Parts: sequence; structure tokens; C-alpha cells
Amino acid sequence: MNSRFLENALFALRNIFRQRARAVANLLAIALGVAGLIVVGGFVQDIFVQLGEAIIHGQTGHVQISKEGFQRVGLRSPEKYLIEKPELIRSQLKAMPGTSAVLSRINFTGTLNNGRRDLGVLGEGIEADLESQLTGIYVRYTEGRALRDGDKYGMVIGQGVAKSLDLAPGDRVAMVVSLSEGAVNTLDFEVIGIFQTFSKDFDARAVRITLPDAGELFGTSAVHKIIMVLNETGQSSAAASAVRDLLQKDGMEVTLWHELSDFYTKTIDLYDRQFGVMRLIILMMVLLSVSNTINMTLFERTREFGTIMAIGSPPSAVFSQIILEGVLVGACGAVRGMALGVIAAWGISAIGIPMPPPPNANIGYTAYIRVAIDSVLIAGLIGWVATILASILPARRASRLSVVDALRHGL
Amino acid sequence: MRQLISDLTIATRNLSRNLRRTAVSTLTVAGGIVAFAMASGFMAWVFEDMRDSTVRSQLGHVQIVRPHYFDKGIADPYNYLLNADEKMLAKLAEIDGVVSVTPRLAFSGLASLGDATVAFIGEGVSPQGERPISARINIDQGRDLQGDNAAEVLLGEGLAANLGAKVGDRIVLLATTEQGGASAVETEVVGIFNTTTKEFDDHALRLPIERARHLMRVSGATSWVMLLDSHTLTQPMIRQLQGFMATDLYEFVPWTSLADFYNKTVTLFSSQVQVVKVIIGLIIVLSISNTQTMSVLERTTEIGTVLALGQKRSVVMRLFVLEGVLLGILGGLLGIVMGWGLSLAISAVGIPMPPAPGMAHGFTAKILFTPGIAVESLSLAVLTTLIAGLLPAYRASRFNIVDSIRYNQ
Repeated sequence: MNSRFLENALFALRNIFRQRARAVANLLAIALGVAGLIVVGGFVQDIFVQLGEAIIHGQTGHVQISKEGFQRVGLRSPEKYLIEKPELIRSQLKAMPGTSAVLSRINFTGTLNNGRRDLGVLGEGIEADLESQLTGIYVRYTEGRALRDGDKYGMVIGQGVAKSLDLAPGDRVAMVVSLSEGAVNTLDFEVIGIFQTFSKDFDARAVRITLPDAGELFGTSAVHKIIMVLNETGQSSAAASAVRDLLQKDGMEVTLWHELSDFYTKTIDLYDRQFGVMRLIILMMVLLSVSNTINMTLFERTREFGTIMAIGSPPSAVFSQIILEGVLVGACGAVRGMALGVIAAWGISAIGIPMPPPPNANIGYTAYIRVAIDSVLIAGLIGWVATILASILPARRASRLSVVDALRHGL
Repeated sequence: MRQLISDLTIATRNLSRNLRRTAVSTLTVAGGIVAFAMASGFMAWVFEDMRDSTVRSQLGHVQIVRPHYFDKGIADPYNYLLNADEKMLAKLAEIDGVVSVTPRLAFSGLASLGDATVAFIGEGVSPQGERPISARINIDQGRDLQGDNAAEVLLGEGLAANLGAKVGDRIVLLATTEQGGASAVETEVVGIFNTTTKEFDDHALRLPIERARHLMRVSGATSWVMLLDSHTLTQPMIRQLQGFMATDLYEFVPWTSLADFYNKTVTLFSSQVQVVKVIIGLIIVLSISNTQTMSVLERTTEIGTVLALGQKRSVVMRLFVLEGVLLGILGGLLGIVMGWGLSLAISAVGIPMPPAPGMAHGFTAKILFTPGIAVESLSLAVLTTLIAGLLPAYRASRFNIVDSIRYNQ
């Protein structure tokens, strides 16, 4: 049986490469399709990864721990959601494997006044030195510098805030916040730096001050959020569920970064749809051109099939012969496509694609093509299956030829 | 000319000889064109809808402000106020093509309800003049503002949620006046609105303009917003306004220079349409050149005969290229008709879309089939079939006469 199959396969291979130009065209169509799938998929994947990292490092961190309900309605009355003894939780989190840093934050809303007008802002009290390790390259300072722990009454503001209030480093602003029971507190700050993140909406409202200053503003030593920064973004879910086991009973809420970013979820959704359509188009391309080529090849070989059947082979032998050819061509094409796709992805990534600023952002970025082994294999599989599917119809037609007509074909 | 007509006749006859293959090729081209027309029609609809919602929920077509208001005035609104010049407003409303022109007063402060206090960005508006400009502000609970001086307020959806406010609640608005004093006004929430921009709905509220002036202790407005009959009138209108209004006192800002999100989305989506176009073009070139090669091979004997009769090689080449182009025109026209029908059908049903980034609600998309898309589709079809036909046609014209006459015998 085995040797029979081998013989058939060898026969199919010979048939494939009998017509060099045609074989090349066929392999090229499949390989281009597979490579296209890999490149397009890798491009989308890269958008997801880069956007995710920008959100994590620019805003949210990987995992946030807060009092139950704070994420939803907390900013309405933040004094009700204070974590009184953050140190205990912090040390527990710090001890977990894969944690690179643990930060505390106070979140608040208030109005910022430049002496001429007010602007409503979303403020954060941060542990400046630890925080700057998290933000890294994802928060750029267009003017001034980042906040440091020792900056008493210093403030960094988003680019949009700076524009709305016409502020530059060195300017003084008044921060007005409302406390519980209608009381109001005011503190003067000096602008130290102006930052820019991936999100214009965020920059239009965000200001950051040091944690001690925020504590002074609200008369508290407690915090609202404890933020875990991990070594690997991929471990976020695992870390979150571990933290949940540890803390849930104390009325704490554990939130993953992508649950916090409405923008991320919707972007992923949009791109998934758009590139789903793109994949469909590529698949159509492969199916169309492969079935076209196979059709053509079979048409030219009509007399040959007539002869095979005249000698006594059953139509099913012709059918399986053609399908086997499809399987082999598909496999060759898919392997070449995978290699081509990976090389193209590496090549493109080595240079990088300069992208214009996406909607809602100010900074353009450099896109790369991510190569993941599973998506490469899936792309190859799709190309292979598509080729086999494309050869079914022509094979059926060839196996049903009338022997006499086929023998006389082209004369 | 006569030469061309006879060539065309021959090409048409050749195409009608193998009707089945012609049909398959035409359908392939038409299918590609339909896909392209759908993709660009969808994008065209998205652009138009986005433009409309940007103009009719926030920007209007032209904003008349004090010079540099948008660079510097945002930080210092009281030094960039327009006078309460009713005569000028009435005069502007008279101009041909102006649907409505209305003053707005931008301000900001804190809104509070019970324990909750939230910062807002407010607009004092004149409900009468504002109605056509704000057609895309959906008031899905309650009603619109009634008069210029009513103690009423409209809240953005997200702002209302942050405050925990419902229609009928009374909220207090606090603001800092020009002199630095605090000022407050109590108003009733009469409606809650949403637009296509979540960020806007999270912070915005609208107050009748007289109330806003009272709150801020000013008169006048920060901008006059103008809505025109069509967005294409924007630039001509600005030139006309510059003709009779003092340009050292007024600046005329078109909506395009304020609609950053719209501009960037157009750039991004247009490049995506280009990628789709290239892919579809590739499909057409690949499959049509395949069929054309097949057709050439089948007609080897015939080509040999034509050459043997003394026709020039260039004539043979021209014939085959012409066949390809005819296929392109045929397929392109068919694709346009099919695409047009399909776009009408799809638009009648509507495509349910999830909320895009920056939006709070999903929407129903349609497909906008414009004349521009039809022209682009047809040229794509003709160009790709022309390219596809070149190589097979060249090969046909290079046949060795003796071999090809004997081919298959």
C-alpha cells in the first residue's frame, strides 16, 4: 500500500513539474497568498501589541487593585474608596513571581486654574520615581522633565491641558478639588513638564502630582489604586487571578489593563473586522487563481486523461490523481509561502513602516510585522486547504470526460 | 479610425466565439470591481457620516472668532470675547447659503449633585439658532432646551452618568468669573444627549446662553457658529466673509482645521482602501492573464494562419490587447451596475456596526455609491485587464508561423 502511494505521489510530482511555467505560476499564487496572510496578520498583531503596551505603560499598568466599585463610580466620591493600609497589600504583591514593580496612586478630579480660566482635569497622585520606570519611552516629555519624588508642589500636565490653559514649565497653577460634604481645597502647583502619551483624549485632561502632595490635598495617607507592573504582558491574566484569590474576600476589585481601556477593546474589534475582510479577499485570490491554473492545466491534458481512462483506469483514479497533485502543489506552495512570509516580515520589520498618527493621537509610530509560529502555521494550512479545495471541481470535471471525445480533443 | 473600428469588431467577434470563457472572465472582473466598489462605498459613507456628525454636533461649517482664539484664546477666553452684536448676526443670517448662525459661549467649571462633583466643559447656546446645527446631537432622554434664559441644562451622557444625574434633577454649576470670584447657578436637567464622540459626551453640557452669560458675568460670545447649505460652500463663504468683515477683529475658521479626528481617520481609511484596491487589482491581473494565455494557446493554429496571411505581428498583438481591454470595459460596466444595485440593497437593510474607538454607541452603516467611485472602478477594470493582456498578447505575436500552423496535428 505504502509503495503504491509513493508511486502515485512520484507520478503526481512529475506531472506537476512537467510544465515548468505553469507550476511556477501556481506555486507563486499560493505562496503569495500565504505570505500575504502572514504579513497582514502580523501587521494587525503588531498594532494590538504596540497599542496594548502604550496603554499599559502610558496609563494603566498591568493589573489594578482598588476597592470594589471604584473603577465604575469611584471618582464621584473618591473618599469612600480609600485603601487604608496599602503597605501590606503591596508587600504581598511584590513577592509574587513575575512582578517588576508595585505602585500606588490617588485618583481625583478637579479644576485647574491659570488665573484666567478653569479646566476640569483628571488628576493622579503618583510615586514619581517608581512610575517613571513604568512609563519608559511610552510617555514623552515635549517640554520640561518628568516628575521626581522630591518635587514638592510640582506638577506634570498633558499636552492638551497645556494648550487649553496656555502653560509652560515654570508657570504656576491653582488646583481646586472638592472634598466630602461640599468642602473645597486649593493648592498651588508649579508646572514641571508637559507630556504626551498615545492618546490625545488622555493628554487633554491628565495631570500628575506626587503622591504626598495628593495626600495633602485630600488630607489622607491612604491611596485609591495599587498597580502591578509585570515583566511580561502575557502573564497579566494569570497574575490577576492569583491576586484575586489573595484579595477578593476583603472587598477589593482586581482589574486587568484591557478591561480598563474602552479604546483598546473597540480598536481591536474594528481591526479584527477590517482585516477579516482583507483575509477573505486574499483567500479569494488564492482560490481564484489556483483553480484557474489547474483548470488550464487539465484542459491541456484532456487527451492524456482520455488515454488513461481508455487504457482502463477508472474515473476515480483520475480524480484522486488530480487531487493528489493539488495536495502536493498546495504543500509546496504553502511551505514556500511560509518561508516567503517570514522573510518578508523580518525584512519589513528590520526597516519598519513609518505610520502617520492614528486618529486620537499626535505621534506617528513605526509599525513592525510580528511573526508568531502559530499564525504562520495557520496561514500555511489555509493556503494548503484552499489549493485542495480549488482542485476538487476541475478534478471532478476531468474524471467525467467522455473517453472518446477526450482522446480526440484538440484535433 | 476605420482600422480601430474593424479591430474592435474582430475583437468582439473573437470574444463572442467562446461565450462561456468570456462570461467567466467578465464575471471575474465584475466581481473584483463589485468588491472594490463596496469597500470604497463603505468608506465614502463613513467619511460622509463622520463629516456630518462632526459638523452637526460640534463644529458647524465656519466658526467666527476673535483672531488667535483657537491658539491662545482657549486659555484666556475673556480676552477673546465677541461683542453681543445682534445686528451683525442678523446680517450674517441673511447671506445666501447660510442655514443658521448662532452665538456660543464656552465656559467650564464644576457641576455638583448631592455629594458628587464633576468638572465639565460647557457651552452657552441659543436653542433656536442651534437646532439645525446640532441635528446630530441625540437627546435620547428628556427634551431640548426651550429658551435663551430658561433655568435648564442638557447633560452629555457620560457626564450625567458620572454625576449620577437623571432628567428632572436639579444640579448646581460652579464657575470662576473673569475677576476670579466664584459664581453659581442652579438649573434643572431637562435632557441627556449623546453624539458620536464619547470623549465629548463625557464632559459636555449645554446651557441657555443668557444663563451662561449670567454665570460667567460676561456678555457676548466666544464664537459665532455658522451652518451652510453644503460643506463645499465653506471656503467660498470664508472668502466672502473676509470681504466685508474686519479681519483684524474676526477670524474665520473652517471646520476642517478643527476636525482633527476626522482628518486622521480619512488618511488612515483612505490608505486602507488603496491596499484593498491593489489586492483586487492583483487578483484581476492574475486571473485574466491566465485566461488570456489559455485563449492564446487554444488559438495557436489560427494565429499562425493570420501571420502566414501576411498580417504584421503588431496587429496580432493589438488584437489580443484589445480583447483584454474589451473584457475590462464589459466587466467594469457590469461590476458598476451590480455594485450600484448591491449598494442600494445593502443600504436599504443597513450594516450593523459595533461602536468604533472613541464612540459609545454602535451605528448602522450604509454604502454610498458616488460617481467618483464608478469612474475609479471602471479605470481599475480597464487598467488591470490591459496589463493582464499584454504578456499573452506579446507571446501570441511572437509565435513561430510554421510551428503554430502545425500545432496540435
